[in-house]
Amino acid sequence: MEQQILLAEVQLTNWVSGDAFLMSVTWREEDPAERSGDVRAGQFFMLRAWDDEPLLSRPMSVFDWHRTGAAQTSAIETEFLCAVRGRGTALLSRLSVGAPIRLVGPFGNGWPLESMAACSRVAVVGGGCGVAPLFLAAKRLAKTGSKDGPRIDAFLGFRGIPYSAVCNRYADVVSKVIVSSETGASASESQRGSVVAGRITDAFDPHGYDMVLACGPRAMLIEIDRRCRQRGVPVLVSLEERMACGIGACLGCAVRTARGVKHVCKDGPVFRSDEVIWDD
Amino acid sequence: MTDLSIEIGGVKLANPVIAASGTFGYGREYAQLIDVDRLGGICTKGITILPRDGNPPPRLWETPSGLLNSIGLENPGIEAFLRDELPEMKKRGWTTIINIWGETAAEYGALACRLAGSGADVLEVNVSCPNVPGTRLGEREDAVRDVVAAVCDSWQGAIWVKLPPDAGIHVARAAIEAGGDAIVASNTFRAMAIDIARRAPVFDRGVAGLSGPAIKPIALRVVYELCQAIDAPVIGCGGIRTWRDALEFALAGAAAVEVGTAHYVDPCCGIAIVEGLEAYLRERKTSWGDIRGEALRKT
Repeated sequence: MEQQILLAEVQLTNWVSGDAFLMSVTWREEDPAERSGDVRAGQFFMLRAWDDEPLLSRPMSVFDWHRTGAAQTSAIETEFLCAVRGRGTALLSRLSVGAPIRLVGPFGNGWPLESMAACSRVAVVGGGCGVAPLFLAAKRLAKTGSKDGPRIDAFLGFRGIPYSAVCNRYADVVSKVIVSSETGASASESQRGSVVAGRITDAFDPHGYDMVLACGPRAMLIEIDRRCRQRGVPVLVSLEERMACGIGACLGCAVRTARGVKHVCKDGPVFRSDEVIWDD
Repeated sequence: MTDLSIEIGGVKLANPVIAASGTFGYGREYAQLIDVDRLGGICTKGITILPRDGNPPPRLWETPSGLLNSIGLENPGIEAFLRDELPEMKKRGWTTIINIWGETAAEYGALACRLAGSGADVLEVNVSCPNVPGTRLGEREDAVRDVVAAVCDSWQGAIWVKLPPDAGIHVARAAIEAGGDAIVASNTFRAMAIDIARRAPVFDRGVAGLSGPAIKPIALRVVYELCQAIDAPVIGCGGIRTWRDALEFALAGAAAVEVGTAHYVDPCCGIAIVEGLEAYLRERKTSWGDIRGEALRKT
């Protein structure tokens, strides 16, 4: 999908925990001839639903993506999983149904799903809001792999109460979901499957996987990288950094890699874990 | 259509709205989203002789109506710039303003020499980056004089000198006397943030550069005072995000404006400023040249 400036409206905001919510926004593509293709899993948009303050838009990766409607007027619905961290995310969380929201993007490389078609087992490992950019990847990989494609397992770790609604969405598309809570909090009754107490890295064994996709706190990614390295399992990570533009202009979101300084917005957010220089 | 074209130091710009250095990449980054051709000029990220990695993260910190940055002049170096970026900028027909930075006058001279004959339209001599080590050249009259003279030795085209906000009139005068055609006022303001969780500065270097609407009234004052004191054109830069802001700078005497951080907020911002100015000037049946400095004369 080509980068563009989109005016969308909020369709639904669904709280999945005390401070995290799934926000669904939609926009119409009036001209079918100008249909812009689909977002790649792992890409992100810069979101803005306010005038002056806070100054910057907020980068949010796409959680899910649907195209609906007939050929004449197709609509796109995209979901973002956000946690309230500051003023921007607080404003996003309070948007009411029908509220206008501006999206600029999509930006970033996304997960190279085409290269995983030959995998037989893939694990997605997410921590907290890091479960967001993995869902569309898991869904699309699972779909292409109905017969010969990979079996997908999802490892979803949370500090406190798990995002049950999100875990259930994963359960709909992947083979197995393992959910953990560091505080040992139990999930809501609606959640399918049980919750293990402890860190998700303790519940995750890379043995038997051809590829691991991970997103979450840096300490989690470092641990995943370490374990997978021991087993020789390749890991792709989606990284997060403060950014102003999303487009490769401000150079704010720098990460050190074996191939030099790279930028999360343009060269990432997905990087090969073995190329990231973690010890800074 | 209102004619917004201007001329600064012999270089004609289609309009006085320029994308500021370090906020617009090399123009191509924004070309998929907006019609970059509509801007009066594109000022590149600061270019140095050798490639620079820039500063370690974090590099950005949002403040009320502002943005602190500590990028540290990450750039591919002059050779890669001439090979990979400038030809593309020229092909697209943009007025190219090349921001250059060096540690010594000799380095600025070398950059100017390398850019001579490259087809670049303007050199913006950056003596004001707050995010690199070394002496603060731009605050010293003699140092600025040496740098601009070194650039003049090898570069026949237009020279704009981008000063730090606290440079003062004497430094601006020195820049013009040494051969500068215009002053860009100004770069970001030296500022900082402290992480109370770590009880330490947010940025490795402690001090960073503040941009955005928060600095506009101060940047406007800097332009106003410079325009009172020197005859050379002053290009206003600092917190401009609407055509009204741009108009304020023109009324204070600015010959043109640079738009930086506002492009992060709204990629269409620069174009909206051009359109807003066109509409305003058409309605009032006046021109950019006529209103320029009007508030200065009413002081």
